[in-house]
Amino acid sequence: MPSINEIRDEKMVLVQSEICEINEVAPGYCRLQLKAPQIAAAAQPGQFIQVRVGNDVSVDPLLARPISIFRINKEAGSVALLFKIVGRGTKLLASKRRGEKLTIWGPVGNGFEIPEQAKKIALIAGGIGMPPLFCLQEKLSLDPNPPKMILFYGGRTSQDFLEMDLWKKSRVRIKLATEDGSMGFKGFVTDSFVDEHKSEAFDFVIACGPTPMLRAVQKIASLFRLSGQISLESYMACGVGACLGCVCQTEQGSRRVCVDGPVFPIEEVIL
Amino acid sequence: MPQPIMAVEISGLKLKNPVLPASGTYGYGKEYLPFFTPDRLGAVVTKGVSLTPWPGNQTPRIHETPGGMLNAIGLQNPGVGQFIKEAIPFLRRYQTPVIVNIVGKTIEEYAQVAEILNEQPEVSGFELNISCPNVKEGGIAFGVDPLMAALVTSEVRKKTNKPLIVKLSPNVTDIVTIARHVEDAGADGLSLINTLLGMAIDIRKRKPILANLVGGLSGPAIKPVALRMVWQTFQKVKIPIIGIGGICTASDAIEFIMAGATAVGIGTGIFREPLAPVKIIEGIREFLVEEGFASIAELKGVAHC
Repeated sequence: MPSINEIRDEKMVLVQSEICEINEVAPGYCRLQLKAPQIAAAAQPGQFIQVRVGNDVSVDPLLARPISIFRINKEAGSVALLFKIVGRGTKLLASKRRGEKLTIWGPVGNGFEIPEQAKKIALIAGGIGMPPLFCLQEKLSLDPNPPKMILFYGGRTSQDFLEMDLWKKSRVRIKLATEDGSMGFKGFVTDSFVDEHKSEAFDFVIACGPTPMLRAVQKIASLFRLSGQISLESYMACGVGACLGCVCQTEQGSRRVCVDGPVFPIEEVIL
Repeated sequence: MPQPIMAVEISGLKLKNPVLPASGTYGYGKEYLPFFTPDRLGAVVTKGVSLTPWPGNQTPRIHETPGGMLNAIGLQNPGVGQFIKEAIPFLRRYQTPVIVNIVGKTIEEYAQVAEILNEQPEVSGFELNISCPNVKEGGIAFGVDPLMAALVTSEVRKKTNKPLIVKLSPNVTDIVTIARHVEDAGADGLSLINTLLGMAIDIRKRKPILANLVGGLSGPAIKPVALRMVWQTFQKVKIPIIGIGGICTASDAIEFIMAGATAVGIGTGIFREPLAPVKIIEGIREFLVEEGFASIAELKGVAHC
């Protein structure tokens, strides 16, 4: 059973945040840049922000949407989020305009923790699981002696790859995989990862994407005795750890995805 | 202009203001520390506490619906032992009454939890949860039958002389009958209402969205139902009522007080806006000043006249 928890992140703040930029980066995908200096100052890759779509008098959509952090700009005091339009809430969010204000709180969650000895890291992204991995590589690249990183990015089709210009400018090597073979490796991103791992042994894996992909990553990691972390996605109500709506099962019992995660050791979660 | 009196008394408990969290939406208070401390509230109402740890339901446990949400958490909680070890030392730091919501699968379990917690000086009172729609045994089984509701109330009553509030289910034909039975069985107060049983279906997967199949509907969507039940019950019982059901703003809270509630519980509203309870306290105060009321007490039940 989980204990009655401590707050892991006392830096969480609730703010009215102005939209500095909003655009549809690909059909069905939206990038949202928010002015939020306190959040930008505290944010770590792997954390997320609760974004409420409705204004002060609106109760529909009722709840905030948890969206992972894509980029952190501490100097400009802003954070960028990248999200997929999946339902009414995200559709309304995508229709907001620059200059409008949103009620947001964050940063929420634990974020990634990369061990110092990790020198060759595989970043495995499935679809809209990509943004936190971009955030992570941006931070790791600032290290004077950064680890070697390879991105394994999977999509159904070539339409599912986002922000490729930014990725190409990064110091990360990129391996794309599509299920329909329209771009890169034809098949699952995890198969592309296994092929690569056989020739160049990774010492750490970070993955974010749909559950079947995470299950495959778990199997592979266990087979090759690789350690790493996975970031989970979940519907949430409170986004502060109170409601227990977003729990996942782990070897240590149930854990809240919002504040005990969203990042968990790869072997710990029962998917 | 003198400041209006925000303090209220409910079942012998003196509250500095009438705004409480609804059980299950505020944990044991720690999670909202980044936003406000528990002593801002009239009292803390804890998440349900059972005799032994309860694992809760499978996921998905929640689903948003128009103006509301469905939940089927299943009263996941670490049990009374862990509650005493961890939550009580935390809550002790704040100058605010603590109302512990208690849950059980049997009448004996309710009574045992009450007996154990009655010994804790930090526990100011109890809220008996006989209305959770999301557990197979206990919970709502006691809340939909007037005789069972009375029985569990009187059994818990024997174990404590602290204020005993009973939280009622709206999933009944006549809430007034249940309320009167509970009052006669020794309850000091009533919480109205718990969630309304509902469901949602994923049309692509062709099956219910919640793992529990059904769940409790909360949020602004249920406010008119809750308000009506507070109104009806207020006319027929003497014990004070905590009005709960979709309160998001001060004006929502004021409606409940005008319908007869002595205090209000903020549940789903705090998910929408973590600062909701604090904003609602301020909003009520402003309203009292604007409308020339000297106290909350003057506002209570005015809509009945």
